[in-house]
Amino acid sequence: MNRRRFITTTTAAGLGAALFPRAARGADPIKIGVLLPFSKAFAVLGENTFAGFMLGAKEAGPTIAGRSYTIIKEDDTADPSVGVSKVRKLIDRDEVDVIVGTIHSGVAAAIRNPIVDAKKLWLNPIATNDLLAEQGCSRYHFRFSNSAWQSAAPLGPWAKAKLGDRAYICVFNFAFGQQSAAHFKRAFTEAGGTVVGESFPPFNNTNYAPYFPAIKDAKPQFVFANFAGSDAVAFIKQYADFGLKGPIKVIGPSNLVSEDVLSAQGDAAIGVYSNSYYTPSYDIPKNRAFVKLCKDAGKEPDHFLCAGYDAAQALFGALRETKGDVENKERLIQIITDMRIDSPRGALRFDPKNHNPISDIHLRTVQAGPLRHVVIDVLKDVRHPDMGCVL
Amino acid sequence: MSLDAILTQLLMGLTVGVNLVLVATGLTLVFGMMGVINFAHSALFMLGAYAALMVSRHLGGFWLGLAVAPPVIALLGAAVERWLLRPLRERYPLSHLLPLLLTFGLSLFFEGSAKVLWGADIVSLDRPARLAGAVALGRITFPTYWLFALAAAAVLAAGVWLVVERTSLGLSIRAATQDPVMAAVLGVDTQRLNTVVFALGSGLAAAAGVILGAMTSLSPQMGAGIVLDAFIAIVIGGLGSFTGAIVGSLLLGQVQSFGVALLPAFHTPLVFLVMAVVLVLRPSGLFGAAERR
Repeated sequence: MNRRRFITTTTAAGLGAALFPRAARGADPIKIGVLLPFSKAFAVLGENTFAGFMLGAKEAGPTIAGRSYTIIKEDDTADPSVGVSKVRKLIDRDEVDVIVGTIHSGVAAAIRNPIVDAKKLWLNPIATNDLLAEQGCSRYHFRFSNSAWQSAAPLGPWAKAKLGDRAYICVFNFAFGQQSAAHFKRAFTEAGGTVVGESFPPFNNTNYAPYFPAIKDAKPQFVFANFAGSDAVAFIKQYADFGLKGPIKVIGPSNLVSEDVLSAQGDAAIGVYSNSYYTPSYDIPKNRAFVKLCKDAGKEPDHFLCAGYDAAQALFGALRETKGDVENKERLIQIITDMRIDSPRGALRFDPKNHNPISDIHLRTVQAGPLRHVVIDVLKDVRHPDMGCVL
Repeated sequence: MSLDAILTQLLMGLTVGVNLVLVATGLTLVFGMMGVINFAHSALFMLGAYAALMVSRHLGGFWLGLAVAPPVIALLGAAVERWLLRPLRERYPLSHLLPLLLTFGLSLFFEGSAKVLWGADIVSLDRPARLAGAVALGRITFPTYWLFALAAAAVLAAGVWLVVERTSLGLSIRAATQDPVMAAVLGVDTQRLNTVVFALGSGLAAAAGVILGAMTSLSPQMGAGIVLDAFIAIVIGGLGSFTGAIVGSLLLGQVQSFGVALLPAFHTPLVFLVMAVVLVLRPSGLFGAAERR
C-alpha cells in the first residue's frame, strides 16, 4: 500500500496529485468492524442500531473518495467475555481499521482495553457506562448516546422546578439503576429537593405491588424510576393499576418508556415523563427526513437508529475529509473532535475533554392516540462533568 | 406501617400466593408420581399466555383466551407425557437424569419456538375493559384486575383441591404420589394417571400464565421467575405433597409481600432464609413424607 501510494503520488505529481489523491485509486478497502448484540435479550436493540448505521452508510455511498469499504459484523450477545473474544478477532484476524460498538455497558468496559491498546478508532453508539467519560476515557473513543450521568442528573433540577420538592427513588438493583439513582439524588438535593424514600427491586422482577404502600406512605410528589425491558412494562402497568399514577407522577431515563416497551405498557404510560437525546416526533427538518428514511426502510425510528446513523455520519464524514485515508488515526480523531454533526436529534458535537457527546436533551411526556412522546422542554448542550478524564 | 398498608400488602401477597398454587401444583404432583422435576413447566406457563394472546387477537377477547388456552396446553402436556416422557422412562426405568434432561431440552425447544413464532419483543395481553380501574374494599382500594386474579386462581385451586381430596380419581393420585409402585400393585392404572396429572399440571400452569401475563407482559422467558418461586414453595411445603404446595405457595406470597415492606434491603435473601430454616427443622419440607425414595 505504501509503495502504491509512493508511485501514485510521484508519477501523478503536482496538480495531478492534488486532484487525484492516492486513495482515489485501488487502495485496499477500508475495514469497518461492527460489534453489537444480535442475539439474546438485546437482539432487537442491536438490530436497530445496525440498521441506523447502514442508513448512514447508504447515504455515504459505496465508496469514499473512490476507496471502497467493507463492513464485518460480529455478535457480542451482550456478554462481556464474548465481546472480548469477538473484538480480538476483529482486531487480530480481520485487521479492521475502525470499530463500531456496542450497547451493553459491561461489554463496553470489557472491550475498552483491547481496542485502545490496538489504537483503533472506536465509535460507541449506545453504551452508557460513565467510566468511558471518566477514568476509562480514551482519545480513540467517541460516544453517540448519553452517559448514565447525562440520562439521570439533568432530571434533578428540572423535576425540582416542574414536579415538586419531594421525590421517591425506585430503580432496579444493578449498576445502571444505582448509578442513575445516585446521579439523580445528588442533582435533585443540590437543587433544593428532598428524597423521602428509596427502594431497589431486583433485576427481572415481575411484581412491584409490594413496593407501592411504602411509596404512598412517604407522600412524595413524584417518583424517579429507572427500569428497562419487561421490568419497565410490569412497573408502569402495576403503578397505574394501584392508582398511584394520578397523584404521584413518574419520571425516568428514556428506557423507562422507550419505543420497545411503550406499546406493551399501553395507556398506563400516558403522562410519564422521560428524557432522551432523541425523540421521533421532534419537529426539525433533519428529523423529518430521518423519520422518512427509517420508514422507507421498514423501520420505526428510535434512539438506537439515531445513534447508529450518527456514528455513520461521523465516520463517513471524516473519511470524506481525509479522502479515504483511514491510516492517519490522529487526523481522523481531530476531524471528529471538531465536527458539527447535523443529527436528527439536533446539533451534535463532542466534548474535547472526554469525547462524550454534547447535545440537547429532550424532556418528554407520553400522550395518547396514538401513544407517543411529546417534547415539552429542551435542555441545551448538556455535557458530562469533568471527572478524572485524561485523553 | 399503616393499617391500610398492612391490609393492601396482605391482599397482594394472597393474589401472588394463589397464582403460585396453580404453578406449584403441577410441579409437585409430577414429582410425586414420576420423580421428575419438570423443567419444561416454565415453558408451559409461557405457552399458555401466548396461546391466550393468539386467541384473543384473532378469535376474540380475553375471556375466550382464558377459556381456551389451559385445555390446549393441557393436551400438549398430555402429549409430552404420553409420547416423550413415558417411552423414555419405560426404556430407562432407573434413570432420574434422562427425564430431567428431556424436560430441560423441551423448555429450550419451546422457548426457541416462541421466539421464532412471536418474536423476542415484549408484548401485552389486553385485559377486558370491565376489569379496569379499582374497587373499594372497606378501608382500602384494590385494582379490579388483581381482585379478579385472586378470585379466579382461588376458584381454580379450590376446584383442584376438591378433585384431589374428595374424588376417587384424587384418591388414586394421592396414593400414587405416596407410593407409585404400591398403588400400581393395588390396581391403580398409574400410566393413565401420569398422563392425567401431567395434563392437569400443564393446564393449571397455562391458566396462571394467562392471569399473570395480563398483569405484567409476555416474552419467551417470562416463565423463569415464577417457576423458580413455585419450586421454592414446593421445597418448603414438601416435594410431592399437594397440601404442601398450597401452604408453601401462600406462605411464600406473604413472605415476599411483607419482606419488601419490612426489610426492603434484605427481602431477596429472606425467601431463601425461610426455605433454609424450614429445611433445617424439617428436612423433607412441612408436609413431605420422610425419605420415601
